[in-house]
Parts: sequence; structure tokens; C-alpha cells
Amino acid sequence: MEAHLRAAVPPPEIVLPPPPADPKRIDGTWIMDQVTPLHMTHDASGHDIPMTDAANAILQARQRAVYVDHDPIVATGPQCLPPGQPWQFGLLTPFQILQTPDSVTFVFSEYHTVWSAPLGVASPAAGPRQYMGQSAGRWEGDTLVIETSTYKLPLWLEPDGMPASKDARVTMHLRRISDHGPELEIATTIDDPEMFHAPWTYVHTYAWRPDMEVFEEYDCEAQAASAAQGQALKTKEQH
Amino acid sequence: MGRVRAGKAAACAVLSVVTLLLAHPVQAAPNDMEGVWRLSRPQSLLVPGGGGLPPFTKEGRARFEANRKAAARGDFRFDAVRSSCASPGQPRLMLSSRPFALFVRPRVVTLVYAWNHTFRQITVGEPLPNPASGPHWWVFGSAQGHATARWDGDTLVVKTDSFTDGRLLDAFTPTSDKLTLTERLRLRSPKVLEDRITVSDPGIFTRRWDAVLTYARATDAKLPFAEDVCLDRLKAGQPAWP
Repeated sequence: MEAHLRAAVPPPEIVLPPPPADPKRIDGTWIMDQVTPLHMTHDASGHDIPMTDAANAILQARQRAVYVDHDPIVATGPQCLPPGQPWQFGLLTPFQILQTPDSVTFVFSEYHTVWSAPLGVASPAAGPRQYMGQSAGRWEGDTLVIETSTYKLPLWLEPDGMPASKDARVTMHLRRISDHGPELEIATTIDDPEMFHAPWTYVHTYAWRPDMEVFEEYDCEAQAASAAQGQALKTKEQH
Repeated sequence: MGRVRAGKAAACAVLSVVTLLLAHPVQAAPNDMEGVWRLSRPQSLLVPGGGGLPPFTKEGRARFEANRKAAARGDFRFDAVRSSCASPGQPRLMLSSRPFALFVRPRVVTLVYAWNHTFRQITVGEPLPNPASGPHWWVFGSAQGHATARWDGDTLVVKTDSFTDGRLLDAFTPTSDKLTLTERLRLRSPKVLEDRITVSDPGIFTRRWDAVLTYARATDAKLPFAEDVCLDRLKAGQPAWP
């Protein structure tokens, strides 16, 4: 796992320009700098994740599809659909943050996902359901708090299939830290009575990496179409 | 008499200010380009400055006409954007009828399009070495191409190359992997953004040609854009590229 992290996030070749001095500026490019488990079992405090029976049943079905049936249930991201914040922020790929006085926008290299939240708004708008939900952001001191709800589909919180329902409320606390160089810490709280007996929180950290700020284009839909075409040809040849 | 002299003096003062402004136009700061923009006049084709069709080679014209005829039959297999929501790339994304947000940062200018949660990044100046991708990572080509830029006064001069083969410049115009674009992006006024595009693609066009797109600062759109998912529209039988 450490080797995988070093390959995905090699150390910079130069001394990087520093992030903005203002702690309330999170503009720039960040990438996860920690190894996370394929399957989450504990929250940030080390307690078991308080899963309901419904959550356990979904998780087991998703795991069985992979490890027993070898016919995985495909999450939204690999279908080129916006995968929700927990999945997207759990990837070892960089993202760019673009901040203005009234919005914050996250641009991800993977799946060309773009997610924006209005700032200075108390709670998510009662808009239509969206894959990335409806969001609202506000500053609490030097911490940016973004609440998201009104998802279009149930979420995958991690690749192994930990579920959240489409009525989940995902609250992210983002703040700059400097324990190991400039980092962004995101504490994510999942509040979803259908899947969890109580809200629970996990924490990821992201390194400041302006040297990774230009992304290779991820033309997900073209790749998916090409793969489908290849599969159709293969099937045709087999018959 | 006195009133006439005062009037003349005032007229001279206005004339002097106008002369001064013409000689030394007020330069817009790069950040003034930031905001949400929308194409001033919806158009499906990138039209040369003088109007008409681009200066096609024989092959370019034949492919253009074949695409147009296929579209008239409702057959869009020639267009990966319409048939599978593939990236329209450049300069087609600049022709989107939906708005985009433009962000100017010291080393990267980013355009976030409302169409299918897509974005464009333009490197400004010398990029920092990226140890994950290595040098020349863009040589295999992409729909967006590889865009580098410099500021020429208040104009962002963008050169884009390293495109993949067999794409479309707009609704019907074919392109090859020899396509290069030079764009000059500037504020024509605080509310009008201009993109002057020079197109070169030797197999498709007999010579370089120019087109000008203008964008109005959007008053009816802001971030966050409503989530747009092209694949959902396609599934619902709606146009992928409205």
C-alpha cells in the first residue's frame, strides 16, 4: 500500500511555491497523502462504524458480487457518472480548488467531476436531486463547512461498497493544517439514519501539490464507449 | 461671451480625455476575465471571419459534406459527442450554448463548463515539473489538446496542440491530429469576452483561418451550475449536445 501511495504521489522534484498565507484560502491543487483501507471499519475515533442491518445487507451483496460471483456491481464513478463526495475524495488523484467570495469549486482529474458549493449559505437548497447532491458552504473560523444532501442515487462511501442512502447528509469540515508540510484536512460526517445508527466521521488529509495542477484529460465517456464496442466485437467473434 | 468660452473649454477638456484614452487605453487586469460567460450568439459551426465555409482541402470538404448528409439522415455515428457523450474537446466546447465559468490563477487558467461537468485547463508560463506524469505526458493526444499560454498585455494568448485524430471542430467540420489552435482571449469590454481563434490543420484546410467568438457576461447563471449529465440525457432520448 505504501508503495502504491509513493507511485501515485511521488515527492516533488522542486521546492514548491507555498499555498496562500490566508488560512481561509484553500485555492490550489491537493492530493490525498495517506493510505486508506479498501474497506472502512472504524470511524476517526476508532469506534466501529454503527451500521444498520440494511447497510450490512447492501455491503455484503456488493462484496459477494466481487469476491464470490466475480461480477461486480459497478458504482456510479466507473459508469462516468458523478460519484458523490465520499468516493471522489477517497481517490489517489489530484483535485483543484477554485475559490471566489461566493462559491468554492472542486475540479477533479478523475471522471472529470466538477462540484461547486455556494458560500455563505446556511443550508442546501431544496433543488432537484443530483449525483453530487445540493450543497451549502459557510466559514466557521478558519474551517470551511460544506453540507450536502438531496442525492440522486445511493452512495458508495468507499470502493468495497460501504453504502449511504440518497437521503444521507454529508458534512465536510475542511481546514488547512501543517503537521507534515502544508495539508488540507477534510473531516467527513455521514448522517444517514437508514444506514447508520448514529452520525459518524472519518478524516483524510491531502498534500499541497501545485506541481500536479494540470490534469491529463479523462475522457471517461469515450473510454466507456470504446470498451463497450470492444466487448460487442468480442461477443460477436465468440458466436 | 464668457459662457461660449466656458463651453469651448469644457469641450476641449472632454476631447483631451478622449484623446488620452485612445492613446492609452485602460488595460483590464487578467482577473477581470473571471466570471460566468455565455456565447453571445448560439452557433453550431465555427465560421471564418469573412463568413462562408473554411478553406477546405478536397478531403476536408468531402468529410464535411459527408458529416452534414449523415446528420440530415439523423445518423450521428460520425460524432462521438452526440453518439456517446465523449469530450467535445477544443474548440467545440467554446461553442457550447451553455455557460462556463472562467478562473484566472497564476499558473493555470481554468474554464468550468456547464455542459456535462467538463473543464479545460490552460497552463500559463512554464509549468512546474510533475513527477507523477513526467515530461511530455500530453504527446498521445486528447480531445482538449495541450494548451499553453502567455499574457500579452491584457490578452491571453493560448496555443493548443496534441489533439487526437478524427474529431470535430464543430458540428460537422472534421479535424486531424495535426490541428493547432491559437486563441487570443481578451475583454472587449467589462461585459464582453472575445476569443479570436486561428485554426491550422494542413490535411483539412488549405491555409490558416480565423474565427471570432464573443461571450456575454452571464446575468442569469452563476456557480454552482445545475448538474448536467450528458449520459442521462442520451438515455432519455434527449440531445447530447443541445
